[in-house]
Amino acid sequence: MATKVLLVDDEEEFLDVLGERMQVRGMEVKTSASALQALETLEKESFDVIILDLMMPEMDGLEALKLIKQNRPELQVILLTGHGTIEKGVEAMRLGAMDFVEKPADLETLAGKIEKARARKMILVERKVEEEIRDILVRKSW
Amino acid sequence: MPAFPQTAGWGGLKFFGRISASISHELKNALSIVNENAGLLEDLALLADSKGGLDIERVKALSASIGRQVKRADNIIRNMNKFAHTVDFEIKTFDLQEYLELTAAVSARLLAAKSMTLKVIPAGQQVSLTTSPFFLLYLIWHLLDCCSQWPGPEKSLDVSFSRDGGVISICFKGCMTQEPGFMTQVMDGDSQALLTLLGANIAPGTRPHEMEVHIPETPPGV
Repeated sequence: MATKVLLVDDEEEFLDVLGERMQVRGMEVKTSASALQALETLEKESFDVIILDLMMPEMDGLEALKLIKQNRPELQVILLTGHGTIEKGVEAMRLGAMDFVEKPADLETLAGKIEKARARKMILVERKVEEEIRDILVRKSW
Repeated sequence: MPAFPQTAGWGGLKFFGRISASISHELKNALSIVNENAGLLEDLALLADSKGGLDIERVKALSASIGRQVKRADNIIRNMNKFAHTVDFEIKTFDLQEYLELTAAVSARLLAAKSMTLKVIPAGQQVSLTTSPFFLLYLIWHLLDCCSQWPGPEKSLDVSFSRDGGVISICFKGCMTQEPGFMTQVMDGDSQALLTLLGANIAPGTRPHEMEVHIPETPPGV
């Protein structure tokens, strides 16, 4: 099954071209031109990985990351940014980002990180399912 | 011109740093698009090798996109260069509209982060001013920063200017100037030092959501 990626950036030309290149590499890609639009999309659809720009109008990437992790902790987020400061990177990781990539990004490196993120999400989902089954078994105690 | 206090000097350096960081971010965005376009051209070339054909219209579109981004980056660098040269002279005679447009260009990201747009309204005649270009930009940027935190209902900001006698007025329209905390924030930080240095003052505008800065055409003591 193709890795499902949500790409979020306020630069629409960037979204179009990177999205197309990721699709060529077999990924299923959806794009959002703002963090708010991305949060709406996440209400309706599920993704393996979210690639999130750090600096966007209205709501920046760190704020969006906080909300995503609050609602869907299993979702894996990779932050993409033109601001390569260590402080921002540390802040992003503290808030639960899986990785932090500086623009312009090398697509092969990014694709590698996306695959790692997908694998991590699958482990988290499997663990969650196991816990739910265990919980049911304990509660029902057949 | 009075000596500039040390604290405002440090604030000025911080302002210079913030603008430089914002410019570098903009440049990285343009470079990223060029990078992705180059990558897609490479992908298309590889696909053409295996499929035996190249979509010429697609290649033309990618080339146009690269051209647009190069032009965008060139404008950013031109503004960065002009901004860097504002510290060349303590005092200089310059065209106010040109420097207001420069401030608008280097502050665009700051305002966009708050979903605000900014327009510089031409005066209809050339308005020249003799003062410190760097510290005038610093003052205007500080006021734009305040306006972005107190946006008016339209979320758009108009900056106009005029000359009356020996005084230049710069009017900011579109922020909640009547809110009690607004003027406190405006006068915060280096404002007082900047106003003293430039011989300027800030007053509420004649209409709601307006604020005016009055600056002498030539600075005090010159």
